[in-house]
Amino acid sequence: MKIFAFILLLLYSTLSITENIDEIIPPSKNLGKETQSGKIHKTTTVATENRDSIKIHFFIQPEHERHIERLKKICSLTLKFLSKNIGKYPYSDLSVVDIPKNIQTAESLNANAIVFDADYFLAKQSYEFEISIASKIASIYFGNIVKNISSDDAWLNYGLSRYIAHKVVEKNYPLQMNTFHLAGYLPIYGITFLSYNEIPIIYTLRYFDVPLESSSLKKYYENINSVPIAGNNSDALNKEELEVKNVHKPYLFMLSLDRYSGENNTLGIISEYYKQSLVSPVGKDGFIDILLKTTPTKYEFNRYALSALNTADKFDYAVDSLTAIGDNEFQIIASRKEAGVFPVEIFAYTEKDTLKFRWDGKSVHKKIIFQSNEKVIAAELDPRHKNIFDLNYANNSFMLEPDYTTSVSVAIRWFFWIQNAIIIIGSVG
Amino acid sequence: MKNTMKNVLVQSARDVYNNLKFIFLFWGTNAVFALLLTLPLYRLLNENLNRSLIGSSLTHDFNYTWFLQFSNIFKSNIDELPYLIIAVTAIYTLIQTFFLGGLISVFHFPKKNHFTDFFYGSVKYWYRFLKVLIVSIVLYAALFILNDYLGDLISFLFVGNGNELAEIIIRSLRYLLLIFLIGMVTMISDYTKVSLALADREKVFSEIKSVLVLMKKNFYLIFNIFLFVALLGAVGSVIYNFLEALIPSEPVYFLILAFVLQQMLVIFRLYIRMFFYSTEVNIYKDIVADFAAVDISDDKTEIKK
Repeated sequence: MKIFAFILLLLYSTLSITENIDEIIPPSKNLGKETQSGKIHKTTTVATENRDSIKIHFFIQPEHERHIERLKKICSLTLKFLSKNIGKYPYSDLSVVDIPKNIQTAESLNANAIVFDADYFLAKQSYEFEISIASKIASIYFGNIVKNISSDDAWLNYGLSRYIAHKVVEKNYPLQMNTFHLAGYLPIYGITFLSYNEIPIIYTLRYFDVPLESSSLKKYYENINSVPIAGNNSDALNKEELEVKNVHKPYLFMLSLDRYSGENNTLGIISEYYKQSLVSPVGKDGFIDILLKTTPTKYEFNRYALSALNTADKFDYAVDSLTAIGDNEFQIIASRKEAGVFPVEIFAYTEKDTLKFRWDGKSVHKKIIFQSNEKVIAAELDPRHKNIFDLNYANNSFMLEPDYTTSVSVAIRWFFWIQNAIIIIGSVG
Repeated sequence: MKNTMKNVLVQSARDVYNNLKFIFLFWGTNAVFALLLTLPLYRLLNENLNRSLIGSSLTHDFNYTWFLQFSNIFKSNIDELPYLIIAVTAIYTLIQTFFLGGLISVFHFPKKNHFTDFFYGSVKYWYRFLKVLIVSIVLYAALFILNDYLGDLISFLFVGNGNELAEIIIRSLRYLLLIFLIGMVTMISDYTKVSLALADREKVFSEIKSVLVLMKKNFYLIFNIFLFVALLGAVGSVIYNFLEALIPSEPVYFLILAFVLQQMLVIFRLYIRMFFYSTEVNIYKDIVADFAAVDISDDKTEIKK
């Protein structure tokens, strides 16, 4: 049975490869020409917001030729987005160079070039490839054109670049679907819960939409006590912690800022930082200064911004209880479970209405008493998940009446997976 | 009976049908063990979700951010789950080995298929089958170690080589080889158990040796029937996945329909497992009967001389 469950999965994956990957473009004369180094060379031109045209040269390995349309799309969109929202692209061309996986070159030597490596198979609705390319292009702005004062400021380059990449993909692509890799390289839509040596044992094959920030959140949770964003690189204990400090945490912070103060304000801050840095590098202090001056409702958010950037504080807010304390009178008890402070909105949902309260988030507990003639259903804080560093969104809400449907529903599904897993593993006997 | 594929499959299907009552025993055991592994998770889910509004998004769809946070919050509990699964599965496997003796016994003597006969067979063959189980586990472990070493070898061969496609093809072949070898070990293990029970012998290694000879002589019949039954099981999974996708996630009572469908698939998989052993018993009986016939005719020839 186990063999054939695996064969079935293999067959499914083989059949779905044609769906997962882009259409394979047959080599043709008008597609491009092979260079002396064995790469395919293709050029495209992008007209930006400022009516400047930028030539993009693609040097692609023949086996990645099928990715060229995806590359063209993401490069054009990123250049247009950057020109519109951050500043004019200062070069007339951009070179995009595909390097083999076994060559350990992470950075390009030219200011107007990016290098990348790609998997042989790319799932159609998985955008790590696009995020990576867009980040590298944005990095030309924040890492090449603008110079950091010290290597400890690398988070400004990587974090802002990844945020720009997020915005480009979010605006121009359908929802991202979760994938796992069968045998290490075949992308399959679904989730694997238990696997051995690239062989999935407990898995489900379905389309699950997954937020673009998921991979960064996962890495953040795995390195929850990593160095503060604006801290020293030398304090990071390992490479992964350094990556979280310089790439994922600043990117997540920018997303929080976006959700709190709006996209225009966030892009305005980045644009201002870029423009000031063109004159002379402003570094992290300059960036924080711009951020604190520009963000609306300054005082409350600034406390959060400084805490998120300068400390390794964790964040978790919860609604501990919602109780009826009298006729038409109700009490919400909310609490701050960790050291990090974030200003939050608290909503009380009734059958016909939503009552809104604000809490600066400073105290450890917050008691809110309100009156309602309607039947009260639940209370929820930070309903729009503006604080992306909140470790637990499930405890952000509290229903007056418990509901066991979801836990039973998920448990039943797990029960079924386990039934199958023990049939498969147990068949060794 | 002439041992053609069709005859074996028809006779085996009849045998399984006549012994369907045992499927409820297998199903019940499977459900009890799965429940043991579900209750700890259910407790965590209840703690996390029963008062939370996030539950509604999970009932209608899947919330990946919740999944990440849940995995992080209960990391220590979830990290223990694989060990718990392995421990429970080990006990489950021992019980399956116990049941297998009874199952082969009732397939061997179709008229003696009461539960007492079943458990008599279970007790009688358990120790012999346990020895086969240990040998099988050693062989499976060896296959996975071999698979790892082959992976390392392929990585070594492709260091500095940019030919991704060739590497992917060779790595795929490695998995196909693993699947084929797992299939072979499973067949050898199954026929050894059948042979030990039907011939009422106890020496495992000599039985493995004679089973290898038997399989070599009848490879096509044995392999084709094994493949056919396995594909039948795979078809069941495909049909389930197709039907399951059609069931809406709300209203909540569709959950019951999905659960019934899931249990139908589990029962079907257990049926397929019974079908495997039924075909193996019938093939073995036919082959041994053929051998006996040959022996008798040889003896007669000698007498005539």
